[in-house]
Amino acid sequence: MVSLIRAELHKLLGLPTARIGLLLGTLLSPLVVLVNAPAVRRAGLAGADLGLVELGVGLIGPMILGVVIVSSEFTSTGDDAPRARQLTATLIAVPHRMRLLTAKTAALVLVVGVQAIVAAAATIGLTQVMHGDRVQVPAFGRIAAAALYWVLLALLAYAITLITRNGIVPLTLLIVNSTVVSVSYLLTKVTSAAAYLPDIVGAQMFLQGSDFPVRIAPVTAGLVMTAWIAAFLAVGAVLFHRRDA
Amino acid sequence: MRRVHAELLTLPSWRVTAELLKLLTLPSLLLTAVLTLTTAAVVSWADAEPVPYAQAGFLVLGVLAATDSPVATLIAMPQRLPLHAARALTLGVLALPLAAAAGDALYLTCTTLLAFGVATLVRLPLPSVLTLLGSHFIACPLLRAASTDVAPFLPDAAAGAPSRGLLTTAAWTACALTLSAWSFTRRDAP
Repeated sequence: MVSLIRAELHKLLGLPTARIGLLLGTLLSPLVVLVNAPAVRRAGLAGADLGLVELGVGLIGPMILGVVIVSSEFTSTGDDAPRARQLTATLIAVPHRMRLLTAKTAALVLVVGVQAIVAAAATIGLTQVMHGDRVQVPAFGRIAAAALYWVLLALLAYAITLITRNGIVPLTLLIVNSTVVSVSYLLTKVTSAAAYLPDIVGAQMFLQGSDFPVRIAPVTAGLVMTAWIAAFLAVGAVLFHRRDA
Repeated sequence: MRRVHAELLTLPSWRVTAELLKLLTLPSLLLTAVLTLTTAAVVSWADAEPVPYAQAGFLVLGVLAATDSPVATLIAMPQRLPLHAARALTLGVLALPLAAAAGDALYLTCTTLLAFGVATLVRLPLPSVLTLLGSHFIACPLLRAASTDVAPFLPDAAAGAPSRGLLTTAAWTACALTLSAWSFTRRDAP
């Protein structure tokens, strides 16, 4: 199993798109803290969420990683062999599909986990440097919850890509949904049930100040989001196990 | 220049028809169109402006049309400039009614063609989508928030102010199409 995980790590970190994801995810949030600092200082904003909100911009990194670790297997390798996909070679090497999927999941969790910790440390640290005493360092539990949110969102991207077997659909869906024009967020304006959508409920694990229609305790929020991801992963795993490669 | 002109004149209708047939029979394109219009309908139902949401679908549309295997096509039509023009023209004609249905005919058609140009330059679908979504959904909003001076010069300027921004969006599209035409005629086949 260890060698399988090592192989998957090697494959993931060799992908140019994954490297872009690593770079964007790690650097984007600290950069936003740096660029926004004068505006934040001028507006006199020193909410309890400062730093943790900025961390949200970096989520594009885990999304890219979750998508490409699957979609790279399904991309045609070139016009010389239009039907050839990397998955064929992967399955010849590891015919047991559930073992393969476990190794892939472990590799993704490992990479995104490390990325989340680095990005969170850099973002929170830089917020302290820029704003000093006017902001408190968030409790350790909230920073850990934000890192967990990163890992869970990467797993969501991963699970959806297992279902669609194409990277464009989940990437578009998740990127758009993580920005100001989020469809999930819009739905919370229409029905309060939308507060339980995975990306909305998960944010309640570590954000306090935002306008959520329903307040959910952090632990409950974490459990609801985990349940969503588990359900998506189960569907993705069954499909990956049953469908023709 | 005269050669370019002559090549463009050899743009018969069957070229456009062939491209139209290819685009209309691409399942991924149809799926994207359906998803985009559904999203636009849901967003309008929730009392919000649909264009900022729907533009994601049109960006993907342009990318899919550009990255659909042109090698076989190049064997059938070795003259690249007329081919590129026919593909862009067809895509624009197809996108126009969809864009009108989604809320902004001119801006969304321009955005589709911008995506087509960028994806022709980048060539790979996933990095193209990433570049375009990154620009329209992350970079542009961040730049706009950081400084109001740059707002009128961003490629999605017309999404907020159709009357003033359309010129900017059209200029970005024209640049992308020109650059992509240049690269499509010069570079080795993908």
